[in-house]
Amino acid sequence: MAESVCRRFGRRGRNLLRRSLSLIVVTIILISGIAAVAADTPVVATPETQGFSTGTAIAVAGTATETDAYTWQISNIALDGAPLQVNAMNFGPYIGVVHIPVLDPLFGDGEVLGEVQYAVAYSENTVADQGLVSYTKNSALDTSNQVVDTRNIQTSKIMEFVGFETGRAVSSEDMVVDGAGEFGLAESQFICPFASDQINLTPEYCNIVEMGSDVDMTIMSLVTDSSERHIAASADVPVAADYDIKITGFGDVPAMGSASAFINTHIQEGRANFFMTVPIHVLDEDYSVDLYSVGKAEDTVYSELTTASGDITLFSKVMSYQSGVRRV
Amino acid sequence: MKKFAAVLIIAAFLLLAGVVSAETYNCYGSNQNGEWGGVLYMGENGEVGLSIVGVVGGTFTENGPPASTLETSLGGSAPILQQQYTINAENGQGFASCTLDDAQGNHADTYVNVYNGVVNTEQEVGFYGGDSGVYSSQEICHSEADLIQAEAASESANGDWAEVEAYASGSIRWLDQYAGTKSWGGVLDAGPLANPNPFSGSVAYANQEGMIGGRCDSADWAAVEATAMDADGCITQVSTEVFNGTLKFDQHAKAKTIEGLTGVALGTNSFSGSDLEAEQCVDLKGTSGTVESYSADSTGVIYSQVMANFTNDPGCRGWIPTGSLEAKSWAELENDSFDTDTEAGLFIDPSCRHSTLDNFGIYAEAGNAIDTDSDSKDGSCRKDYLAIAKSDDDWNFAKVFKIHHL
Repeated sequence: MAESVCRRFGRRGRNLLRRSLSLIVVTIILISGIAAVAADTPVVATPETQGFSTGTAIAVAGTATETDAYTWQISNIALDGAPLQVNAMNFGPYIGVVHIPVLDPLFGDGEVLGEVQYAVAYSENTVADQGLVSYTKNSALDTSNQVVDTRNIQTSKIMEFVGFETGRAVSSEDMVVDGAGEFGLAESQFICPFASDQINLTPEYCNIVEMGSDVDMTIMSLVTDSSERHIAASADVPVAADYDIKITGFGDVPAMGSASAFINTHIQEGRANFFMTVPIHVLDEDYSVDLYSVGKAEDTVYSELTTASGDITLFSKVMSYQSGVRRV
Repeated sequence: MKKFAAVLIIAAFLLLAGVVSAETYNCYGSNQNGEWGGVLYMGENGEVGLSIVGVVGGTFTENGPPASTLETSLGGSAPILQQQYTINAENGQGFASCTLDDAQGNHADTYVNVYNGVVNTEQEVGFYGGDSGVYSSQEICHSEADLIQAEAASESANGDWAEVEAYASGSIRWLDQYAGTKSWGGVLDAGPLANPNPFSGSVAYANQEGMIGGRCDSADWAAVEATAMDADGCITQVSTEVFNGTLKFDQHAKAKTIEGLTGVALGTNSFSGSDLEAEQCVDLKGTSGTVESYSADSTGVIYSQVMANFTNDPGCRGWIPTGSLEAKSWAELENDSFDTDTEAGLFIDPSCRHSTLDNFGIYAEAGNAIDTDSDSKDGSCRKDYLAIAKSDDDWNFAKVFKIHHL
């Protein structure tokens, strides 16, 4: 194989190529490592949780395929479509947190628990044809509550491919974390006492992040890692998504073909500022409605696409997304 | 000319841009436990009004116009916020309330709470035009539930307040509640030789009337109460309670405070005073009940009080009213810096001549706080007081237990 590569490039050509590729590599490294900031609140796990994992290993001279797809939707109340439920009086620019005991079944004693929904998707399509293929992948999914350094979904893939004369390998991965949430009472969501000191209500949000890659190679050594977290027992744990890709050749032989990696995000965040308390004197009881002025306060769109085509010595991109009131 | 017109247009634009207009926001929500709605009113001068209706285990329907806000008309009183609902909470509970606050600290609210039943309510809160003050009112009709609690209340920035409350376990045929607080001030022209006389005052009204239990049904229990307190803390209250019967009533409580200066050629004198009135006419039919009125000063010393307890014959069967009485009670207090006059009275008229009332008691008391009132200083106290308890000896409906005369 190395001999066939050497036949295609003389020593001089390879040196020129290395100099030009080194520029590409530096550029790629500089724009990788995106860290987006938002304020998602994770969903508490359902009473029953599931976990499964898979391990795949292929070594073949010929053809190998891998197709993975899953979609995961979850709500902290019920998956009953739009609109999201919020147990408070929603007056548009004002939200009323109700403290009327007789209406506790409606409003939860002022412990506003707005609905939060997440849709998470991951897919991989890999076809390696007419070549030497080494493919190893581990996938794990756990629907239980996670902590800061663990993930609900995690995949790791290593693929090495050396195509025959007309052999090539294509592989694409795509991961989406799409979350939307209504208001929530901070003191009922955070274990950290300082978090609820800073805000009374966690505001509305609607955040989506998509990451992935697409490669089409005749020779490559490919490594990808993806993971995400959106299930946690408290809002102290931020929602997170990570995706890494690294493509190299073999020794002095660069990878050949085209590679791209991307991240697309749309962050929409609200604010909830305390406005006033409306007192309601009922017999000898003092009920009240706390009014918060609310509204959309942030709208951020970010997209990044990195491509490389030709003889690629290194293609590396690291993308990280974290969203929460308390981030680490 | 063109420059002048341009300046005029810009000035008009800036003026319009600077006007803060009142805003109204509507709300509706529901979840698996029930539904709720409301209106939020944000006035031009810091007024905030809020109406709420919510039902757990039931539904509500709007009657008449939807929950809305109306601007105050100058010179008259007009509701700022009103709502009209039928709350059907036959398997749960419902709540409706209107509340209003202004930037000066005046507050009014009204509410109804129904358990396992249906209530028809029309509520509103608003400002008095011309004078400073707020009011709340509520009408309830043809309602029946395990328990209905209804209230209208107003509180002024001066500290005086008025409140009416009604409880019914059974049916409310109709109920009108009203509570308002109003303050005023001005200058009296005392003539060319005297200084102008500034004065100010405030008054709290608590009025309600209605019929609980109907011609063909009765309330297991019903209680109504009207209370007013003036800015100095003097309080007056009327209340009535009946078990297993019906109650037709008309209650009024008023607390008024006024203070100012009287200017004369040789000097200036200040004056201040309180005026408390509590009065009710009730028609009770039931197995037992209570009628009470009292007025008290800010330290809790009761100046005048009347109270009547009655207990029907133990042999009373079913809901049929075997006892009936009409009672008028009142307790009044006039208190200024020179004089205190109290009056308390109770008048009971049996209207059912086939009643088998027994163990019927009346307690009546009237007093003049002569030891603490400033009238003893100048000897001008009229020491007028009155306590009346009238019984019909022929039918022996009533027995006077005690009357205090100072």
